[in-house]
Parts: sequence; structure tokens; C-alpha cells
Amino acid sequence: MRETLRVTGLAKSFTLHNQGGARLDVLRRLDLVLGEGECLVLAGPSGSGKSTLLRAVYGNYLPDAGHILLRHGGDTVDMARASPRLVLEVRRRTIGYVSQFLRVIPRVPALDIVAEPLLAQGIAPQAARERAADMLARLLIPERLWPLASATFSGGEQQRINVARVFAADYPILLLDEPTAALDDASAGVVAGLVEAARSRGATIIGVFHDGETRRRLADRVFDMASQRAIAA
Amino acid sequence: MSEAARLDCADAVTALAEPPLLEVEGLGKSFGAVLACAGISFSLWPGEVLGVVGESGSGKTTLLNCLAGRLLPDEGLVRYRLADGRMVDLFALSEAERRRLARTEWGFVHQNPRDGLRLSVSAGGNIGERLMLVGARHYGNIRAAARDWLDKVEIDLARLDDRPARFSGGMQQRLQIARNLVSNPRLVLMDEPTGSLDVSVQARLLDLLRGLVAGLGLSAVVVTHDLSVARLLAHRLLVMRRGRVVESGLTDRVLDDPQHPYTQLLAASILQA
Repeated sequence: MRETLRVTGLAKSFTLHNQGGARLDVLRRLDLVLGEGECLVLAGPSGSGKSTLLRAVYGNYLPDAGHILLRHGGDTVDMARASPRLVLEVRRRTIGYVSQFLRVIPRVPALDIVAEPLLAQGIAPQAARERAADMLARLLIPERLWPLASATFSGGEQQRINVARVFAADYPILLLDEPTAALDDASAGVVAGLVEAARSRGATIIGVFHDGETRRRLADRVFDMASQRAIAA
Repeated sequence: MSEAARLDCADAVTALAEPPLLEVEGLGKSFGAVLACAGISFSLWPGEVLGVVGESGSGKTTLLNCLAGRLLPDEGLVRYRLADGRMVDLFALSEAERRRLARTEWGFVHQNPRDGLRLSVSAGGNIGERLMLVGARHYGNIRAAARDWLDKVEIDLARLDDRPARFSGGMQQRLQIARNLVSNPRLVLMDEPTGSLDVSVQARLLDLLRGLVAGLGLSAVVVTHDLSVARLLAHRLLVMRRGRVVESGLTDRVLDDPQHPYTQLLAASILQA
């Protein structure tokens, strides 16, 4: 199995300057290695740093120490040190991130939100819209919603738009933060199927899943955030 | 890895190897004893939008006016890459050369649209005038471009021959943007582009700007005190306080994981809608 992601000595704390300088140590010298076609599930109570780890890998949080080495095309990039422009390039080509909540953009139709990453990858508008439509249909979003802005959608619909946006593009690395949290069983099953398909094509996946069934179905390994080490799935 | 993926990566590396469009080094400006900005350094690459955020009086607008060549800084360098690839020192150019550059290669969007429009000239004339400055002469082509841009900024084509003095604030601001972008500027400087508008009108303008910036691959410096504007438009941010840059980086990193006490205060002050 080819290595795609290696995290070494990753430390992240938050210093709250306007709250008496309180300091929260969230990640303490964390190490992990992942390869192609592997799905690692993060386990631990809320506040144990699952989202922090995903955000650090995505370049959204600035680590205090350590390295986040990932394969980007033919290069190796350290997300802990990459310039903003390189981080954006890695996000465009290599990393897809499903956040816990969709950041709604006013007035932009759902279909365009989903097609946007494909257009950024240089896929022709017609093909991008077709792939976006296909993904929305698979995620059971009614076609009448596709031309509408997502601000008024339900939480579950917004979450599926969020998932569709990331899975429409074939990113080599996927970071999934509770992608099924707001979904009913049928939709959650579709998302689990998409994750399995991504794994089969060789994607490297780190995920947080609140329900045990999805976790058991998808995990090749489980990473325990409390001890900050991998345990068997 | 497939051959296609290899090529993609080569593209990515080439794009990152492209030289900056604008390089600013140690820029400083005082008004008498009052320091407006100091020690400002950054580069702007083609297709990149840099947001400059901070509260009123932090020196954002002074910085923008220095970049535009409208104010002479006391110290520091601003280098700009011309369309032909030559790098010029902005303040080594003559006043006339700087004005020509501002007219032909740059755009400047003022906070108050009345400062950037000619109110006694029709909407179409405001757009066409800019094209004529860069050498357009064919009346039919100019009028067609004006119609095309009114449409892009969502102004009813029936208003083509009306004077903007009677437009709403939101329409005036959209017209100012059309006037600036019609000539395909290589660099656009914007000073609080949504600042003078009602909240309901702001969202529409912001969405329009977002589409134009992405669609045209604009290079821009956007000064704003509104962090949601910065989040939607800017790739990178400079956070200014009392004339100095206290933090800079990728927009979502600065807003979601602010390091400096002042940035933390700003980010914590956003109301979650």
C-alpha cells in the first residue's frame, strides 16, 4: 500500500488571549500514517480533538509543532508549513473536506455550489453541471431544489449539498467531519456507499462518524483520540 | 499515478512559479506626527485576491491609496509587473506615467460610488468612457460592451441612457464596478466596496463581486472592515492594527484560528447569522 499521508509530532494548542490567556492543549505530539485506499476513523468524546486534527490537515488550523506530509500530485507537501497559495492548490486538487456545517453562500444555487470545485479543477461547465446533478440525485436531493440557494434548506439537505460538493470531485484525500450527523438512515446509507466507493478507487480517508454502525462499516482502523494512537477496527 | 494526474501537477507547480504582479516592501506613511501605516510588506500574485482588514483608523485606506499611487509614501517600495513583463518601481515613475497606468491597467472601486462615477454622464457613458481611455473608438462596439456590462452587473438595460445620479446606492455601486472592470484591468483596488450599502443590498453586491472575481480571475486588493466580505472574496488576509500588519495568512486560517490577540478579538466579534 502506497503511503499518502504521514503526520508526525503534531501539536496544537489554542491560546485565548482575550480570556485571560487560557491555553487549551488539544493535540499532543500526534503521529499517524495512512496509505491509499485506507479509511481511518477518529474516535473519542467531543472536545478530544477530532475536528482539530481534520482542520490541521486541511490547513485551516495552524499547528504549534510537527509535520503533516501528504502526497500532492508527484510532490510531498507539508501542510504545517505550506504557503497559503500552496494550501489552496492542495485543496483544489488533493484534499476534499466535508465540514460539520455547510457555509451557506447567499443567492448561489445548490447545483452551482456542487459544481464549483469541478470548475476550479478545469472541468468544462457542461460536464461539471452533469456530474453535480448526478451527485445531487444520488444524495436524494429533489430536482426542484437544485436551482435554489441553499440558505433555506433543512439541516439534512444542507449537509447533503456539502457531501455532494466534495464527492463530485475525485479527491485523493478525504476529510469527513460527521458527514452523516444530520441525515436520516437512507441518506446516511448513501453517504456510507460513497465513502466505500472512494476507498475502492484508492482514496485515503479520515473520518468522524457519530453512529457505531457507519463506523464499523467504514473503518479499516480506529484512532483513539484519548490515547492518540491507533487501535484495531 | 496516471499521466493526466502528472500533467495536472505540473500545471500546479507552474502556476505557483509565476512571478508576483505586485510587490510591496517596507511601506510607510505618516500624516504629520500621526503614523498611518508602517513596515507593510507583501506580494500579490495574478488571480489572487488579498483582503486587508482592521477597524477604522488602522491604516487600511492609506495603504490602498499608496498602492494606487494616489498618495506618496514616506518610505518603502511598490513594484508592479507591467503587461509586457517588466517590473517597475511605482514611485520612480513620473506622475503622468502613474496616471496612465492607473487608467489603462488598474481599476479603483471607491467606497462611495459617487467618487468613482461621473454623475452627469449616462450609465452607458460611464462604462464607455473607460473603454475610450484605453483606445476603443468604434461607437457600436463601445455601446455593445456597455450593454453587456450593465447586464453582468444586473442593471436593467432600459437604464443605459439614464444618468446614475438618480440610481439607488446599490445600482450606483454596481455601475462603478462595471466601469472599472469593462477594460479588463490587471489589478483592481477596492476600498470598502460594500461599505456604503444597506445590508440587504450588500449581499447581492457581494455575490456579484464573488462571481466576477472568480470568473475573470481578477487580481485585487480589497480593503474592508467586514470580515464576512473578506471571507467570501479574499484568498489571503492582512490584519492591520494601528498602521501595522499584526497577522497575515490564508483567509479561513486567519479567521478560524486567529493567533494575534487583536485578530482573536475581531474574529470573536462576528455575529453568527
